[in-house]
Amino acid sequence: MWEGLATGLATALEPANLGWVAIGCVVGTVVGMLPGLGPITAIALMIPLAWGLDPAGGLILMAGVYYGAVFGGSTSSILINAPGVASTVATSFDGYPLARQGRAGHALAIAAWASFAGGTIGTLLLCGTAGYLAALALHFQSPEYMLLVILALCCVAVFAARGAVIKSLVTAVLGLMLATIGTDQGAGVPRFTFGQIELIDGLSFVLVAMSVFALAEALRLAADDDVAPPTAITDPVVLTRSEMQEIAPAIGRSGVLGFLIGMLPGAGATLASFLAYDLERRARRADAPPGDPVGVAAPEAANNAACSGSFVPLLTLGVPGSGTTAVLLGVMVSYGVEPGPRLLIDAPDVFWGVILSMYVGNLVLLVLNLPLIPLLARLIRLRHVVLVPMVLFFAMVGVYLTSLSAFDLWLMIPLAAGAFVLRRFEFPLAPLLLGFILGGLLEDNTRRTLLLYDGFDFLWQRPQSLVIALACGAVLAVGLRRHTVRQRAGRTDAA
Amino acid sequence: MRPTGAQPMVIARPVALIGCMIAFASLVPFLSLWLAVPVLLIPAFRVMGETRWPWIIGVALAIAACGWVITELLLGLTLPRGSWMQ
Repeated sequence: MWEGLATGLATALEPANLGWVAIGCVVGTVVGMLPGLGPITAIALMIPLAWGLDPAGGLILMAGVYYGAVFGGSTSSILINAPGVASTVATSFDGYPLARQGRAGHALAIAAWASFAGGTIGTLLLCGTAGYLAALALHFQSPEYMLLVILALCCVAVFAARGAVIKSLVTAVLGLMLATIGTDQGAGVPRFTFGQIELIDGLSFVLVAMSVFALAEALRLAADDDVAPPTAITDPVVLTRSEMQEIAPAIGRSGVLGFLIGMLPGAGATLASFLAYDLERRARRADAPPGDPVGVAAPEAANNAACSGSFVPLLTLGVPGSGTTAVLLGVMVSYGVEPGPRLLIDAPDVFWGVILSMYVGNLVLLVLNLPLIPLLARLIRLRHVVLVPMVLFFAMVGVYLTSLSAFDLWLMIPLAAGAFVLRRFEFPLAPLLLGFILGGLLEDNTRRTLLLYDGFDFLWQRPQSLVIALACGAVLAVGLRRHTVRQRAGRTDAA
Repeated sequence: MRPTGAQPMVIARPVALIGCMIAFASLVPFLSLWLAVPVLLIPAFRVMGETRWPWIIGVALAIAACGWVITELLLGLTLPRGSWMQ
C-alpha cells in the first residue's frame, strides 16, 4: 500500500495535476455556489475540458470539481439559505442564522475548516479500506457484479430520493432502457436505432449527462425566479482557537459517520449530512437557538467525508453509488480506465493518484477559498438572465466539441425536454444516469451469469451472491414499506 | 397529477429556450459551430428577460469569437465547416 501511496502522491503533486486540481476546485466552487447547479452539473460541464487530458489529470480535475462543488453549495446555503446541492441543506439550518447575525465570515470559515477536516478523515479512511476491499472484490465474478449493480440501483432508489421510491425506480429503468440503444454486444444486432447510423454506437454518456443534468437544470432555472441577494460578509473569514476546540469533536464524529454512510450505494452525502446534524443536535443543543457553529461544522464534515466514502464502491468494485460517481465512472470508461478491483493492479497511479488528489484538493480548497470566498460569493448575485444562456452554451458546445456531430445536438433536445418534464413532476434524475451508465455492465454480467450457471443456480452455488441478493431484497422491502407508510399517512391527513 | 408550482407563464421560458436549441442544432451544419453560437445566445438572453440589445449582441458575438480563437487558433482543432462555405 505504501508503494501505491507514494506513486499516487507523486502523481497528485505533479505541477500540471496540481494546476488541474486548483482549477477544478475553483470552477467547482463557483458552479456549486450557484443555486440549482450541483456537483453533477459541474462535473458534466467540465467533461469536454477533461477530454483532452491524460486519465490521471482528467480524473484529478473531476475530483477537484466534485469537492469544490460540495463546498460551493455550502456557501450559498449560508449566505442565501438556498443550497446549491441537497447535501448542504443541513448546513443552512444553522449557517444562515449565523450569517443573519452578522457572522457570515465565521460561518464560512467553520464550513471551510470542517470540510477540510472531514475530507481529511475521509481520505485517510479511504486509503485504509480501499486496498482491502479491492482485494476482496477480486473474488467477485459475473453473478456478484450483476447483483451489485441491482443493489446499487435499489439503494439509489430507496435512500437517495426521499420518499420517491417508485419514481426513482421508474427513472432507473428509463436509464437502463436508454443504455440498450445501440449495437447488442452479444448478438451484434442494432437495437432501437430506428435506422439511424449515428445510434449504432449507442448514446454517449456525455450527451446524456449534459442533457439530463446541465440542460434540464438550465430549463428549470429558466422557469424559476431569481433568488434573494446574499447576506453581506462583514466579519473576517477566520476561526478562533476556542471555536476550533468547540467544533473539533463534532467534526471527528461526523467525519467517520459521513465516510461510513458515503460508502453505502445511494446513501451518499445528503443522508450523511442530515444524520450528522441530527446526532449533534440531539447530543448538545436540543433547545439551543439557531446559529450554533457545531450545527454548521457537523454536516459539512460529514458531507465531505461522504464524498470520499462514495469513491470506495466506485474504485474498488467499479459500481458507482450516486449520480456524481456515475458521471465519474463514465469519464473513467471514456479514458479506457476500467474501475474495479483490477484498477489497483493495472493502473495504481490512477487509483492512488485520484485518492490522494482528493486530499490535495481539500488542501487547495482551503488555501484558495478562505481568502477568495468574499470575492467568489459575489457570483451568487449572477442572475438567471446570464446563467441560463451560459449553461445552454457550455452544454451544447461541449457535446458538439466531443462528438463533432450535429445529430447529438438534436438528440440533446428531447432528452433535455424529457428530463425537465420529469423534474417538474419531481422524478429524481440521478437514478436515470446511474441506470444508463450501469446498463451495459448489468446486461453483460446477466448474460454471462445465465449462460454459465444455467439460470439462477448461482444463488445456491455462490454464498456471496446469495448475500448480495438478500441485501437487494431487504433494501427494496425497506423502501416499499416506507413508501406504503407515507401513502397511508398522506391518506390519513387528507381524511 | 399536477407539477408543483407549474404555471403557464413559467413554462413559456423553457419552451422558448427549447426553440433556441432547435434553431442552434439546425444551423450548426449550415453555418458551422461558432457562427451558430449567436443564434443560440441572442434569443436565449432575450427569452430570459435581457432587454439591452447592444449588450445581448455584444456578449453573444464576444463569446463566439472567444470560442473560435480558443478552439481553432489556440488548441488547433479543425471543426467541421458549414455547408455554405463548401
